[in-house]
Amino acid sequence: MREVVIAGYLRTAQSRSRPTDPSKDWFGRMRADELLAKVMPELVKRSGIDAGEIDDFIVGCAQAVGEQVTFGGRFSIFMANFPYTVPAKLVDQQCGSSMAAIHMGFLEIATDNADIVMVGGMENMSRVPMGGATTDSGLAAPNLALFTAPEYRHWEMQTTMSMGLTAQKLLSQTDFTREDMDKWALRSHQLAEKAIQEGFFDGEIMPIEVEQADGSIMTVKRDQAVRGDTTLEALARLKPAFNEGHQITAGNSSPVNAAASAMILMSKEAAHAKGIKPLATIRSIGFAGVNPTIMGVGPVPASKKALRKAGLEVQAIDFWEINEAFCIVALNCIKELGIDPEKANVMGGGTAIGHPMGATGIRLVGTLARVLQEKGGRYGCANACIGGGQGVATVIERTP
Amino acid sequence: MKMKRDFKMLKVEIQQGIAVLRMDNPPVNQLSEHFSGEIAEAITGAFQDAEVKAIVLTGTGKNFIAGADLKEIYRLKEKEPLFRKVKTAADFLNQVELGPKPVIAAINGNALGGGLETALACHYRLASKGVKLGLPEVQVGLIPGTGGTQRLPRLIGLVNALEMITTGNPVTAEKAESRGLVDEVIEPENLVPAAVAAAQRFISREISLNSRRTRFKYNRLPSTGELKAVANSAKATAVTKSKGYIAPVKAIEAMGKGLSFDIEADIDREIHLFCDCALSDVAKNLIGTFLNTRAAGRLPRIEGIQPDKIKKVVMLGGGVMGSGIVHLLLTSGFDTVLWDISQDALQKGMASIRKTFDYPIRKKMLKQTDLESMIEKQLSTTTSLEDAKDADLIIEAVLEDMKVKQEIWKKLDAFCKPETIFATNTSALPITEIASVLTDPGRMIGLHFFNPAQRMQLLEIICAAKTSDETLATSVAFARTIRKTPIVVNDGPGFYLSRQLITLLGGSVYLVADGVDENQIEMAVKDFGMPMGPAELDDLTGIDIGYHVKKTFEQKLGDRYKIHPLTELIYQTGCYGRKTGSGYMDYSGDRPVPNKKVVEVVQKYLRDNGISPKQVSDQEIIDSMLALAINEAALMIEEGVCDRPQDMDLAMIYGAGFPPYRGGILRYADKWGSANVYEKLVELENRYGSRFKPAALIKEMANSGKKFYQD
Repeated sequence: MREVVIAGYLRTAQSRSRPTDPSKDWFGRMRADELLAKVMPELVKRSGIDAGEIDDFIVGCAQAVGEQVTFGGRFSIFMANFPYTVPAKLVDQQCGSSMAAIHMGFLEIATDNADIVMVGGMENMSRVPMGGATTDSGLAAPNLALFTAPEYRHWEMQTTMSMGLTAQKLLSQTDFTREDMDKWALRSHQLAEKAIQEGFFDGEIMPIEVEQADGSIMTVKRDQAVRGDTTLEALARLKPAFNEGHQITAGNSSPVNAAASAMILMSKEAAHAKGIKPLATIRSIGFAGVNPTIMGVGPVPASKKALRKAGLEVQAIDFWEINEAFCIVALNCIKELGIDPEKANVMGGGTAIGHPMGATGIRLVGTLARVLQEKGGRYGCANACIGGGQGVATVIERTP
Repeated sequence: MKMKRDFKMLKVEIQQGIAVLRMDNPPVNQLSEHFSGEIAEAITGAFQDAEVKAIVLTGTGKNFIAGADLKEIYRLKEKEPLFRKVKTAADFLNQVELGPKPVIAAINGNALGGGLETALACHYRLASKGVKLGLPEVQVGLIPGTGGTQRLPRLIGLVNALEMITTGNPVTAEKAESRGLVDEVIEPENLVPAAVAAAQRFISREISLNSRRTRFKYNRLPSTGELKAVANSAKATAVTKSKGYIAPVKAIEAMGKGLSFDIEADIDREIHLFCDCALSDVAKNLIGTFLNTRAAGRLPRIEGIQPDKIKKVVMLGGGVMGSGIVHLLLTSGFDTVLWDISQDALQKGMASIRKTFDYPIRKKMLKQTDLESMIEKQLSTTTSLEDAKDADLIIEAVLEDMKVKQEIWKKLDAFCKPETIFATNTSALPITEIASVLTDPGRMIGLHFFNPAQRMQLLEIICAAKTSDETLATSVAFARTIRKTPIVVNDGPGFYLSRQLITLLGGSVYLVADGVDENQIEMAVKDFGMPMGPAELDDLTGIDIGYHVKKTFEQKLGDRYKIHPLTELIYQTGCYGRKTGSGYMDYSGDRPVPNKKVVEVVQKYLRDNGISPKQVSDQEIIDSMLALAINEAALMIEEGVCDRPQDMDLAMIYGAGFPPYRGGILRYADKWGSANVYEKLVELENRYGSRFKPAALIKEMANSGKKFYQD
């Protein structure tokens, strides 16, 4: 297998989506495909390659319905005005979509079927309905038998389809408390705010000019959902987001967001030939299926697989990016794998930065690569839980 | 507070907490000020009545609401009162949309304009099968003004909404359902029960009221990027395609600058744009045309006369006109007999009739089997005139020859029943003379159809000297039955329309003979909005035909109509237009090019008369041609050929393609001012001679400041 490197990474800021009042979303009047079409050519430019050299473009999107249909990924090629010779495809692995895109690109290059692959991720959760709204609007029509027929009852679809309920169920199977989750959320906001103040994210966010609800033009360059001034008390006051008596709140869950992200993968030889200094080398990938009613455990087996393939122990990993779809997911992963919490989500996690589903996977791996560069560690592991009961993970090694 | 229940145009019924409001403002549930007031009072009352939990709004008859009262809009000339009026209506719909109780639109019949806008502000829409829903405002020069441009795209997407709003074409309930405009399509008899069931779903909270407010349907709103791109592209198309019409462009502007998260500001902008349209000459002309079309044929002369019932119609002649007329007779349900001189002619006639149905069959508006069964049931053929003896109406479209026509009518007169109406489709022969062979000339009338008869909206009805009022009344009613706009005029050479059109375009020869470039005239006339320039039309209809009509004018109407020497010279080339392969243009190649023969004739004429090329503006060309046409209209009024300006204008719009947004020749004259018209004519008379001599009526109008229209 050939070595595959991360030659470039760029994303938009992650705005905070509000499907019932999109006027408050900085990207409420911009489609996800438009965001991605801004990032793609800019990343090409910054990476010093020519778009025509890209052997494949793979885009991840969790809700590829309505205005997020991609025409097999080709809309992104058209919108970015890339040459038509660049092939494209769409990957949907829900919250793992763009990490799955990285995995596919990795395999294409590792098996010598491509030299340069661009991967992308996008989601605008203000503009494309989610959950029940998707079915109400007719954009999605899951088979009703899954919800009604006795032979499918064991899938517990009412819980399986509601991420908040799966998180609550996971919480109930651990010793963690509401306070533990709120504390982790507070940490996430504080670290993210610190990273913003120190300019860390400026290195990966492409500023985007976009018209706001009041007609003004705003340059969006920071993640909208980060609240550095939040307190444990404020978080503790929040009501349960899903069911009465539950502990999962809006404060200890990731918000809904809009963003796009992109990454360029190359064979080590191609990067060398072009004189590009990569951010990191992909050492292994992992994916696993778990009980869908506690989908938040997904990162645990996925990371174990990836570590095994890389021949590494948990202790060898210097930094972790664990997607905080819910704080309980990160807490559970840290505990189950025996991770030093100080090594996880050091620039804040999804609770603060956000989780624009299709764009998240690249954000996790990209940020991890940059953390390794900045802080000087050797190995990093990024992982995410996935609705429907899955987990994905990627192990990378910093390029010295 | 209990809601009021006794309204004049609204029936209120409350059952199990659901108030069913049945709108009943015949004939079409038009939104007059009073009617709108009652609807508002009833809905507001229902909102405040604790007993009422949900409201069902429905109509009686064939319409839900067929739009606003155009007369009210037509009358308003100032922006402030117009804005206030429309804003009040828009505010009310905002209140309905944001109201505390669900309002369910049970669309029993056509929901057009303000009718659909009302439904858009409701929280759930059910429509009876087959009804039509649309925002046809652009067709009368307006745009939706109570939120239509902002709510429709939220339900059906920008592209579909643009299509509906900029063309004004309605969609059927079925199409509306597939696009998301209505929630359910229901058999008419089950409509209200289904609406009540929907209301109960709101009451039981199965359906959330908030999620059903159209303004909160964000997921079909375009991004700013795509909105800009789509609006720019739509505007470019509209500017080219609807030259002269401002409403489509304003509608695009309403959507292009709107569709934001602040719907009320966007609706305010829409109202301003609506006012721009409504106060424009274009809208006034189009609304005037619309209102006059409805009133066409309602003459004092026939008021109170009960028209005869027509069941059986005999068509004499199955040529181009005859077959088009048979098409109309069949689709209007008449028992029809086609007569022609031989079996061979009948066979050709039948083939020609079938051909007229090619278009509706191709467009899937009619099935071949239905056509065959219609022909089987309604149409018979004969070569015997006697088969016409029990006809209620006979329409003759045989050879344009006085003797031939008179011969046929004489025969029919001998055995037809005394009530039979004798109609001739002649386009040139004096009807009074044709009628002179009848025992009762009062039974004869001219029904002048235009080619293709099944498509052209105009029917010129010509009263001969002795045509009876009963014959006229029945003919007007017949015109309405076959969905034509009837324009009633009196007998005279070319009747009204041919004489008017030939004069309008006939002015061009004076300009050409004065050195004006022919091509510039063609372009100027088309830019003005006519479908064709004078040369193009002459080539299509035949230069020889035009020449002979002009010859008739010369003979019957006197010196003023003396044929221009250049017209004579062009006629003498023998190039009569498309039918001979060349006329003004040469049609022998891939695309028409100027015919050298005619060009040489013109050049020689100019040389012989020492005339050099003349530079004039397009406006000068239009002024000269329009002045002559206006003068001719005045002459025809003086001669008693016609006397209703609104009908004359409709005839030019529907029969000759005069641009509707200009309102017609006489509307144009009023705008121009009679003194200006007179002045122009005097100038042209001095330059070109007596053809341009102002009619006495024009002179009098110039002195008194009178107009053709009195509104």
